[in-house]
Amino acid sequence: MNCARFACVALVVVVAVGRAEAQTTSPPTGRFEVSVGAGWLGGASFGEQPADLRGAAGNPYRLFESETSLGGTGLFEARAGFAVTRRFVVEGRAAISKPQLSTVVSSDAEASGSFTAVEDLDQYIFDGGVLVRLSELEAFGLKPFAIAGFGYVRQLHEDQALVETGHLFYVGGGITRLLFSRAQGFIRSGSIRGDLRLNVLALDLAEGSRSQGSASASLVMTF
Amino acid sequence: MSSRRACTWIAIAVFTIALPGTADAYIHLGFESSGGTRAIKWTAPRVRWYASNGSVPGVSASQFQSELAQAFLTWESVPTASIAFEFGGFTGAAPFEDDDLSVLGFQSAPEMDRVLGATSFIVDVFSGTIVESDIFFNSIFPWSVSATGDPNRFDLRSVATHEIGHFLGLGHSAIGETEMRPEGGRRVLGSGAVMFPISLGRGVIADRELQPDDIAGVSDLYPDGGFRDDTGIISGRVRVNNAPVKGAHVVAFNPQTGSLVGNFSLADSSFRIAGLSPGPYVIRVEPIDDADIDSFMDPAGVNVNFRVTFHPRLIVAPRGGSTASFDVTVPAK
Repeated sequence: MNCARFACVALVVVVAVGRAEAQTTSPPTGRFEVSVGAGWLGGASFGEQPADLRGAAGNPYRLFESETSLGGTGLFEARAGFAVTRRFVVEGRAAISKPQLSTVVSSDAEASGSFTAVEDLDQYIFDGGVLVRLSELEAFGLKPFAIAGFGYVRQLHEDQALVETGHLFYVGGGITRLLFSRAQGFIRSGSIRGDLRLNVLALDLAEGSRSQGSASASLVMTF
Repeated sequence: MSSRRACTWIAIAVFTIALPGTADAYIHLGFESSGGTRAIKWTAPRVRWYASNGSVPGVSASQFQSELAQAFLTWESVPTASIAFEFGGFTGAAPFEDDDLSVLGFQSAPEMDRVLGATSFIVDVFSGTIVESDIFFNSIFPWSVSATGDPNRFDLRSVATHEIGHFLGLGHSAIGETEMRPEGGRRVLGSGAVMFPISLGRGVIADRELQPDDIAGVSDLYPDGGFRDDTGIISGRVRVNNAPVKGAHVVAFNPQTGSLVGNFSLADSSFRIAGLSPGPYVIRVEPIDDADIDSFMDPAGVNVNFRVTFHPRLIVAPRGGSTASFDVTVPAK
């Protein structure tokens, strides 16, 4: 009984998807695609941390306050994927960016004003996940998709003094627009792709996790 | 004098209740020898100590020994340091006698009416090895061994923990803030190290627990196996008008953990802060103005005529090894 009900549901989904795809340009399956692009990686807060001393009365004596954040920056990315089915693509991505880590110090017990100390990082992200084509939502030649996955983060601190690693999870989505397609040839189609992502990073040397948005655009070639 | 000592050097480090003292994040006691300053330290893996069998009101001999054992254990328990202690027994000997015994005990010193305790050393000046170290606790003050502290008495274990830091070869730390009392002396507003030279006061037991600066100092002096590989050193120079600054108090603040570890710039303006967890640090430089300069170093040539300064770059402590030297330029007052 349960099996029969599952089969019916599956059939309805397959039929629905098939009808939607039949109305539009069918995405290729069993093909590789690569893309290169650029975008913006949003900032992330590392939170506040006071410099507290032990006070004689039991309560801490605050020497100063600090707030640390990772600034937004441009990013470059390259991606490779394989269309497993017309709906699902597995893909991997490498991205490089140069964010600035900054700590703002304020309310110093002996100095007025605030001070900012900064450091430039080289950040490399290698991630992979699944792209789900939402062809049934296509409109005006724009094909939406959803993405999710996880990856590895590598931050190289200034003067290569320290390598910090961590991991990230991401979810997001975007749209693609077909530029051209052809039935034969090495390159079978070209399109542009726009991504919006929410990254949740956890670095090994920093407690907790922090979220970071990103937006990018890339040129996609399908082979 | 023991035959194994070709030459000895004796010093006394004191812990005060109100006198301005010298406090640097951590600094190692040492002496001048050919080729520069040499730090003093124990070389035996297990150091034996003895307790005087005297007592004072509120502290019996056995309570005295028990509190000292706990204070020694606090230092011995630092995971990144390798030093151990052994109680040798009670003795009728008094501290500050050259008897080959490291004795800790009460003594009355009314002339030292602001000194809670002091530590003396006998050192082999050829090797820098501590041969003997004694600690006295001034019995003119009221002492307490209460677990929660007695508001009218000084906590014995807190003061013992400070003095045992000296016993190990640590000097005073300058991480702390004080204000002048109208009647003279200083009041501690905040202390960032057990090795800060001025007591937090009666009834306070906070200094039973080490702070990051204390841990970095003892670990740098007695490094355990992986300490050098797992922690980093920040080194640089302090300059004013392109001239070297001696005695600047340089503190490394970890904005992720809130820890503070510091040291002083030397006569050539160089400083070195070791035992730092890998990661970026805020560097704060201040003049010595929260205790007497001679609590920390020879006052000759120490420059206090500059303003508190934050270095504009975050400095990254590596995992093992040291940073490249960098200059912190401070504005003159």
